[in-house]
Amino acid sequence: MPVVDVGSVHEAVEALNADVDGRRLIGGGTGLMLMARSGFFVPETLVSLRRADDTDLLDIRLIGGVLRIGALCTLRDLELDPAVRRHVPTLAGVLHRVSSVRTRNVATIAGCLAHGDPKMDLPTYLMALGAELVVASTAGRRKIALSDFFVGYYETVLLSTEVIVAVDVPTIQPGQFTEYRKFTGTLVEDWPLVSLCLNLDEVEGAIDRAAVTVGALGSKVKRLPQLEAWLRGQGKPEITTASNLKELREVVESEIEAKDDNLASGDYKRKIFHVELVRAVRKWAATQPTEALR
Amino acid sequence: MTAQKLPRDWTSHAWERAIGNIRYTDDDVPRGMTYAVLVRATIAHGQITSVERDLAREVPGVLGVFTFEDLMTVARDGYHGTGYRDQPMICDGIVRHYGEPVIVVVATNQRIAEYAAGLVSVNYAQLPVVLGDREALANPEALHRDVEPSADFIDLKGLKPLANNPNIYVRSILRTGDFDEVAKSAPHVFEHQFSTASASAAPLETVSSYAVPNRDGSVEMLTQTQMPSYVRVQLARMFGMTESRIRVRHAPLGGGFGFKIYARTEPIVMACALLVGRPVGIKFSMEEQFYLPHRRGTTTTISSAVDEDGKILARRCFIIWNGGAYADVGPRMVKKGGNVAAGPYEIPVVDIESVGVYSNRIPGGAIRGFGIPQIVWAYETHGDMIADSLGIDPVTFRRRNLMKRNAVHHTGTPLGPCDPRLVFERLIEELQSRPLVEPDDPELKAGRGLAIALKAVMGPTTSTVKIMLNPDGSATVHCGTVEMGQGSNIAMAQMVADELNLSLDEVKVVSGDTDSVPWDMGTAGSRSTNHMHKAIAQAAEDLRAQLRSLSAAMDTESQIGDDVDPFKVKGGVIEYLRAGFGPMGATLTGVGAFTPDYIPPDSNGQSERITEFWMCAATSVDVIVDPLTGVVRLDQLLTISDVGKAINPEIVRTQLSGASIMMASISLSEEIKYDEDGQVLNPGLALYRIFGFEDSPNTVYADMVRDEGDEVPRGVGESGTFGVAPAIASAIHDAVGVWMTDLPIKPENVLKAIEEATDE
Ligand SMILES: Cc1cc2nc3c(=O)[nH]c(=O)nc-3n(C[C@H](O)[C@H](O)[C@H](O)COP(=O)(O)OP(=O)(O)OC[C@H]3O[C@@H](n4cnc5c(N)ncnc54)[C@H](O)[C@@H]3O)c2cc1C
Repeated sequence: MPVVDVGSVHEAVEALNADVDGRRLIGGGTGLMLMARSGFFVPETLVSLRRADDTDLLDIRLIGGVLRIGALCTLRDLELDPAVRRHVPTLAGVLHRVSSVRTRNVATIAGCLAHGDPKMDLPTYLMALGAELVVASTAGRRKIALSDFFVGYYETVLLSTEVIVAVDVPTIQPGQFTEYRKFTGTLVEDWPLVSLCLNLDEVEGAIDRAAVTVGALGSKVKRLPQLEAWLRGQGKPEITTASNLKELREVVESEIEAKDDNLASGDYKRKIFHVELVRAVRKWAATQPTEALR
Repeated sequence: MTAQKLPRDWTSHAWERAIGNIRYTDDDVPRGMTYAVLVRATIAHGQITSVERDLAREVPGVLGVFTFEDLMTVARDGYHGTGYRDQPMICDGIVRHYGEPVIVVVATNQRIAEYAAGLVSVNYAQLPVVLGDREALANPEALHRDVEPSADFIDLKGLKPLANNPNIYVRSILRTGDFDEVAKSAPHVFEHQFSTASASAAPLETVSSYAVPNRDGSVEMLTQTQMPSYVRVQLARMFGMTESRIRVRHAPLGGGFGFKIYARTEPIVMACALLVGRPVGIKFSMEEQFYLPHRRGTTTTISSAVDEDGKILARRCFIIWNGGAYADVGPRMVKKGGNVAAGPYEIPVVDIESVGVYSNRIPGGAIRGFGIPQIVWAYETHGDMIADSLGIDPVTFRRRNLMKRNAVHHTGTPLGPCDPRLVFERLIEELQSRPLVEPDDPELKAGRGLAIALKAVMGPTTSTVKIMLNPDGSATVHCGTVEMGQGSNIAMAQMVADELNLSLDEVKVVSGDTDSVPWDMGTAGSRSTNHMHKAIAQAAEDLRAQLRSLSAAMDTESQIGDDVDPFKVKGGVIEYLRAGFGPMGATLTGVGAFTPDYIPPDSNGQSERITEFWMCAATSVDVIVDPLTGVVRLDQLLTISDVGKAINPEIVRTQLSGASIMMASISLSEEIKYDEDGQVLNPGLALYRIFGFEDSPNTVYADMVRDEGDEVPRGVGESGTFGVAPAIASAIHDAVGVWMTDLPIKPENVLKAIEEATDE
């Protein structure tokens, strides 16, 4: 697989638009190489931005209430970055459990999202936070909300001629509660078997806005509107009363689907989703309103 | 204390491994190497109807695209196997398992060979696929016809498949009485069934071998093997050459665990090298390695008749070993596993039937423990379930039943210095100072379990050693034990240093080359230290006798008689050598050989000498269970083993604890998965899940005990595996009150069991 090093995003877009088959952008290559080795997808030529001059691709900048993360930032960069730790404090903890340091050292934020694998951690987390992608093409730039991005297994709305240049992550505000739950099952370090993220805005002890996402269960990471609707208006600590938890269970049962696979039955995965969701909810219920506001 | 004589910390050797300073087989690939790549079957059972290989042959750089028939043009016998000669070098026309090699492509480099292999197409007429243990037992269609016993081993003499069911290639009986008779009048009778899944040893150094044909017709084989001597014998037999014309070399192994035993890829590269007249090598990827033999899965039905106090009166076991497509080590494992299937317990009546069956799984091989962990899984969990039903605690239950010092085992062979009670009580003592953790999260539950087990050493096999006493009195030891991280080279050097009264710096161990190192059956089955210890003692005695006769040339004062150890006479050795050979001295060579005595069992499995020695180990495990998800994490893992004399106590401890962690991974996580067509679903480490550091217990501890005055080293490498799985099951029961009976213990199944228990 030859690699074409391009000098800028502009050149990347041109290279991808060239009338040549089988060109593919490469970030850290960790996802692509797994696929190529298994013969699942073998690109003919790789287009790499690693030598590009656009410094934005490696920048992490605060713009208003949004952290703009350059597409080539590695997961390890993000994990250790002080601005990220300050403005999106829960991200480092999520990244810490993504693969190994070795993989995080090379895997990029853009590759991580463009891969479109529902069994990855960051998409579930960033979608709940309301992240958006900044995408370049010959037509200029556009923004895509992460919640509109995934289509199915390894499938996204991104065109093969488009380049992700940055990811915008809203900073976490006082009064906001985020909890990502990664369930791996047998091994401590693994891809998630079930994952979910809760991102709540609280006003006077009640949930004002809720974003809930689920990963690993279906063909794509997605938001859960029924659960979000149910959560809105719930107060603490009443949310954990038996009758409320029973309702919550019913919502989960109606909204969550999961299929059997080599690792576990769909039934088990749904149960785990429920257990982990309740744990996340209880955690919120146990936070002091003042504490969250600090 | 031998350990104190170590010139440098033994860990320096481990350190060299850890930082990658050891030169492994693939670091010294012979020049001019070409590469073989295997085209593998995409079905689990069927007849090859046609092969299209023209496209592959035309690829520039391809040296040959070979079928079994092609390989046979240079071989005298294309089959190998330790119990039966049922394993063809590559598929002989009938595919018997998914991933079986059907065609070999040889090219000037690996990539070309891989590319060309992709151009070969093979067509099959499919046959029914049989995978499950019971299905294999009931399968009316013989998977093999007319298999020939190999007659390599005395304990496998007279092997033949059952006449009425040729898929049962071995059946082993151990019977000391009539179970039903006892059960009829016993206060309690319990019966349970247990299963284990197939697992892979998955050594990190993936298998490779390289054959170099010489101009004179001899062949050099550089290979990763735990059995260089045996590989040479097999190659000589299969290719009609004298052993003197085949040289087998190996480097230290990057993990063996019983995976790199007997002939594996060597016959294939040998045949290819002879066909193309150039060096040919094979190097497997981790994924490919999963098509080499696995730890075989089992189904065990075990019943016990018990009195009111929990004393076991009689025990019956029926064990099915799913051996996959080729018997491999199956016959021996089935017999040895059957022999100890009643456990280290005093039981007046035992009745054991152990059967090995062919199926369309990947062939069953051996991993650390040689089948014993599968057996212990059944009898120890069964025992705990009985104790639980009777309201007796697991410690008391074992104290009531364990074999006593100097007991005679169910097979009729005395336990010798191996004392299960000593081992057990040392574990209990250790546990007293280690209270069970209290999880910080109130939702989690902690529990403790323990288990104890017995194993016989590998069947009767020979180790030989050659000690060259150099003119300055130092020693060069030629010893066929294979270093694979277990520290055998240091242990051998220590034993020689002890015998010859030398410091470790004065002893060099030479291994890895059948041209200079004498026969050793192999580094497996916990046999090496014990057998070599005895061979070394003999070689030292040989040297002593020679030195004494050399001293005869000296003045009467300096001459030594039989009552004097020449190695203990200060400055003596050099003087005797000079007296015999002149002022520069010369080399004396002492040789030693050891083969255990063996008496074949009678038709009821009885023999006064079925093993050279016994090994005993006890394990305890503390777990933390999440009752809402079924996830089990390990907090503490202890192993106590009776290893006889520990030559190097620090290495013994790490061998025991390493084995226990490996087994914990197999118990909780590892499983080769098949779909219904027999395709392996999880080859490679991305899909086959092995413990990482985070999964290892927070505390791991191992220690040894031995009978006073026991000066003989016994086995070490496997003992840590024996009791881990049942100790985990017992700990889970202690934590959340449910019994798990299938390995691996998966969170989903734990949760299911908890839910069922709550529903009741
Ligand atoms: C051993 C191992 C363990 C792992 N464990 C985990 C885990 O526990 N949790 C988890 O979440 N993930 C895990 N991963 C997956 C890992 O997170 C992804 O492979 C990684 O994030 C992909 O990033 P990359 O930069 O290497 O992408 P690449 O492999 O380079 O690319 C992936 C995809 O993104 C596209 N792409 C890359 N850059 C751009 C761009 N700028 N614009 C548009 N498209 C682009 C590529 O064309 C390709 O389709 C693991 C991976 C490995 C190898």
